Amino acid sequence: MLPNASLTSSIRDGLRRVLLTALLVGVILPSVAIADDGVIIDAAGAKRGRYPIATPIAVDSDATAAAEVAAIATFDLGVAGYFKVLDPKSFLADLGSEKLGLDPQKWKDVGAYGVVKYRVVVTGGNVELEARLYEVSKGTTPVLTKTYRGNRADLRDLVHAWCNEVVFYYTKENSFFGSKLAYVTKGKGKSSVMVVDFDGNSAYSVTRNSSTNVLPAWSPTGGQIAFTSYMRNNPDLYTVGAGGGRPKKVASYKGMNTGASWSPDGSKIAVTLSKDGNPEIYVINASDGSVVTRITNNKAIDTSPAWSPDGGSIAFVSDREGGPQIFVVPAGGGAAKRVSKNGSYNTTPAWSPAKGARILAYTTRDGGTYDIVTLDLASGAMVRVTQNEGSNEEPSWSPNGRAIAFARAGGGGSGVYIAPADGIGKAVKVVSGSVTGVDWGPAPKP
Amino acid sequence: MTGQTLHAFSGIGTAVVAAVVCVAVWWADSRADDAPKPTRDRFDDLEIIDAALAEKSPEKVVQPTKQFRQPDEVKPTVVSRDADAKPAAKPDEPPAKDPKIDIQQVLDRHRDDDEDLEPGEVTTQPAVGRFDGSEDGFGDETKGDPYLGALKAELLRAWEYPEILSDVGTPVGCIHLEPDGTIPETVLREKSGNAELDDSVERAMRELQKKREAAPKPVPAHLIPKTRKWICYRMRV
Repeated sequence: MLPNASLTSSIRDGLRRVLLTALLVGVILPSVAIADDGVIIDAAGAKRGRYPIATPIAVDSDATAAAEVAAIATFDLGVAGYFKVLDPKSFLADLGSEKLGLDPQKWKDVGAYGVVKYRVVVTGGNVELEARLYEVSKGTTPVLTKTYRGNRADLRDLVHAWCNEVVFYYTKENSFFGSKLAYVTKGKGKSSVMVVDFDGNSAYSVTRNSSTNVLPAWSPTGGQIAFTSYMRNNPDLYTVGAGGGRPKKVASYKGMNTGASWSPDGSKIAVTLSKDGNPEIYVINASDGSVVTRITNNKAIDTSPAWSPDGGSIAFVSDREGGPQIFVVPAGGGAAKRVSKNGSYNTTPAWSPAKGARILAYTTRDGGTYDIVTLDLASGAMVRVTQNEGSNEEPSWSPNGRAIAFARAGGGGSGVYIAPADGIGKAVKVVSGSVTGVDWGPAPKP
Repeated sequence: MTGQTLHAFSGIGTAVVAAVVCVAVWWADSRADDAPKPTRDRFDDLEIIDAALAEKSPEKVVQPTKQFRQPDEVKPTVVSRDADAKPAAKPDEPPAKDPKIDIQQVLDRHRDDDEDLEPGEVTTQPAVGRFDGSEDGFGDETKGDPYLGALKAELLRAWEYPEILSDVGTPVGCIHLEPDGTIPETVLREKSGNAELDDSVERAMRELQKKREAAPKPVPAHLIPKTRKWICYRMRV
């Protein structure tokens, strides 16, 4: 028994030492460390800005194609709403020796966190684009590599596809490169519905009549465009294929058939009808124009419906409280609630398609001009997208909710502009001319 | 059986049951006294450790309660009111301090004696707040100071960090602030493990350094002794 007792005692002593040591390490030492840390000033609240990225021109490539690739990538990443594209004049790296590789320190020195490198080879009518994305902090190994092959004429689309990959790498969300805009351009005695790439390239008309065609609205899949036309001497609602063709009459009720907004599933259209004398919001079937629901019933003018991406609400403009203001009503009908509180003139609401967001962009009058603002219905936070740059109206969100397209008159030239939805940075003109009714189409299919 | 007989039986029965219960209780009690008591033998080998590091729960913050107490009784005093009496002379006010502060004098008072040390001579001063990095900052001592508050705000204005990057990590950046308000050197004392975040903090400090180079704001005299240390910031996005 005695040896066992002695053994038990020594084990007990050992455990005691371990416990005391644990107490010392676990309690006393951290308190000393905390005392040391306690004399450092806490500073919180970095400005959340753009990611500095470099898109140097490709070497060891077809010179014309390389310049084109750099220009497209610079434009795409510049308007994406996430990046600050660095000025090539500041680059210190020897691009000739780097080729598709990277000297990280040279890029760190100019403030780049990311660098995009290319090699473009043109063979006859074909092109091969090899693209690499580097994160400077991760050294000489690219974090993303892609090779695209196609017709030389498709180079722009290939670069858009690559830039979508870059945005997806950082955000895990698709961007809007390759999407299209619809807008209305005014001519002599007529106006036409036009479609153009989001960057202002490849514009074409989807209406061929010599009448007034206004207020285009993309269907959710991007296959059709609804618009109002006076071709039968009444503002009737038509749809037409996104590539053009013969329009199909959808609604030709007496009076206005205007301001179409598709339901998220594409089966219905919210529209302003004045068939009973006063403009009211209705939901009609997209296939035959039959009325599904009358949404508003008010002596005031109710117009400009915008169907929310979740399908549950419709925003519209009404002057029921004096000047035009934005109201929101359940898509099945019900009580309308005024949501715009600032100013005496707020029109043309558009819902952000960003997931989980309930944000409206709309036109507000400030003094003598019109500007674009956004309003978060959950928090009430407002962001001013344009200011002191002409008259800006009719906002439409990019498919990912990061940018807003709108029509501007004056201030740098009339046309279609796109601007970051967070209000940081300047708007970029993509189409010149007197335009109205801008509507941004859905994201391109990958 | 008559009612009287029944009453007699019930009385006897009650007495018997009571007696049985009393005996049972007495017996159980005596057994308990006889049972062996636990000894302290099992605990004899144990030591008593004073545990004085218990985490103190913060005192509950409550709104101050208004004291409903009768006011102290005011004893009537005899007042002699002489309308012609001259007002009592005010005590002399202390002379105003000279607003000019001799910075050199302040610096001399807080001179680092180590500057006079011969090579190999050991310092007698505690190594506190040296620019060799042996101690950082003085956050608690100067909390709420407007000059340092403005300095921190300047640093934060210069700090930009990309929205699309992770905000995890808290690097510590330190600046060396001279009495004339310039910042001759900056150092990233603790890295966060997030290279872009560390880089953004270094850039912010350099930006602050540039701004202070262009437009230095002299350090107030009361802060000069304190700013002989690194001023360090734990940067949280």
